[in-house]
Amino acid sequence: MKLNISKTFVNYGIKRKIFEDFPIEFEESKITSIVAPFKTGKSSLLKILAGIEQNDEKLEPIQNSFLITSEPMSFPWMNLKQTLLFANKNLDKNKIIEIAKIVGLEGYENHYPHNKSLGYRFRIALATAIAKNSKLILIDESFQNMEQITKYELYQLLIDLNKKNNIGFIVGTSNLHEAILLSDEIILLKNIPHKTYNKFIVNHSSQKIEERIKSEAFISTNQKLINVINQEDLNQNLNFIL
Amino acid sequence: MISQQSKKNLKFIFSLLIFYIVLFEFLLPRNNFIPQPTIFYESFLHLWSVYHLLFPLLSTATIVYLSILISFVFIFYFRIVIIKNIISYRATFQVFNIFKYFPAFFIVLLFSLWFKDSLSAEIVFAILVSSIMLIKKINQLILDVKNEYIIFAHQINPNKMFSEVYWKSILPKLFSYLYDLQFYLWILILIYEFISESYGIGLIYKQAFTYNDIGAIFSISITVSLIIWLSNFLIKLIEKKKIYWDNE
Repeated sequence: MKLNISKTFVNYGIKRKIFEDFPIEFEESKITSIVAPFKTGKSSLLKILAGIEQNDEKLEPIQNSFLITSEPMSFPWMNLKQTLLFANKNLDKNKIIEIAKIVGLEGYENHYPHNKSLGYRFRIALATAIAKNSKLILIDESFQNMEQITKYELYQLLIDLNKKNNIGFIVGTSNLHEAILLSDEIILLKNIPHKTYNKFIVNHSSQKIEERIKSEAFISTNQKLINVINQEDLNQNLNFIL
Repeated sequence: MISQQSKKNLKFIFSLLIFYIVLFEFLLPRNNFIPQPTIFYESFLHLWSVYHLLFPLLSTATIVYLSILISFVFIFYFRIVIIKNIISYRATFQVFNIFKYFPAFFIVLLFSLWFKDSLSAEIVFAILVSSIMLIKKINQLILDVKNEYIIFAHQINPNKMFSEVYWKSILPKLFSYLYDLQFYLWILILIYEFISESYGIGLIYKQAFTYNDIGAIFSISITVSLIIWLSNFLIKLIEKKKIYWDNE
């Protein structure tokens, strides 16, 4: 999929261009990471793609896409079953159990989420996206406040969903390691206004996170990314999590 | 099981009671500030036999709690319209902020001048005050609705955005506000009845005040505070059963 993004923010009458005819290209069936530091327009880009924010020029949002924000989405007054029925009232009991099983929440259909339980809430958001038949899920820095063990479990879940259920992901992140572990492709944003980007292909040989961490693909992509960041002086300007 | 805090509170109340009995029964029995315990006890009995407290108490309590109930039910049924309008015309709603500079006492005076001792005017006044207070609270709470809830609802069921997402987001704090609202309404209604001499506890207060009956004034206050305490308990019970979620 190929799209051109332009976005200008107006703050107290002052115009600030974040994206200037930014030509983004990605494969919808893969896991793509958009790597950029905090506050450099990642969230806006994902919101434009999902149709939640407007592009400067008219742009059709991606069909069947679903955005998960940095605070994972769920309602504290709805359990998983109620949330799925709120999203799609035609679901039957078996389908609800099937979706719960896919996201690792089997047996928790009637359990209410606590707002501080980020991993659980993230799984509910994923389940909701599946209940809405989403084919592309956009994730905006959702893992940043999670514990390491929860993060790794969810990375594995995303990889499994991508391979087994054919769901594509676009992950917005500031964390290079997260991007490399998860992705088939990495889009590295540069300075604002974003006009162009660097693209990296990660050739993972395994679908298991614990194997990916030690893999040659992880080490070499990490090195390539650091080289580009250092060459273009991005880290100093933009504060990445390396 | 009684909690440590409740035990501490009970101990404190009990010590205060002993202190009061010793000081005002034996050491300072005659003073113009606090009634002697035996007089206080007699006044309490007189409240029911001489002042006929029961019906005025029922009347005032009914006005306070019925108006809260009616306002809450009204707001619940019109929640979509109210929330939509608050969001769409936020700037217009800010105009109502000028009322915060008017003392509520002024509005009480106006109502009692306009309608004298009419019971229906008193009920209308109570419903108006509680509805306006609740809408004002919604206006304030709507700013705290989490952005992720709005984005989530926008993607999965935008039709229920106001009735389900906004409403359920503000409900825990709106319901907790009933503790303050009932207290505020009790004060206003007592003043209303006191000034307009309409039937109710406010009128009993006025009679006790006219007769300089300090014992009765104390006894009425304790009776009213017991009702407020019981209502607080009831609100807490409903809150626990029906509003089980926490938005924090």
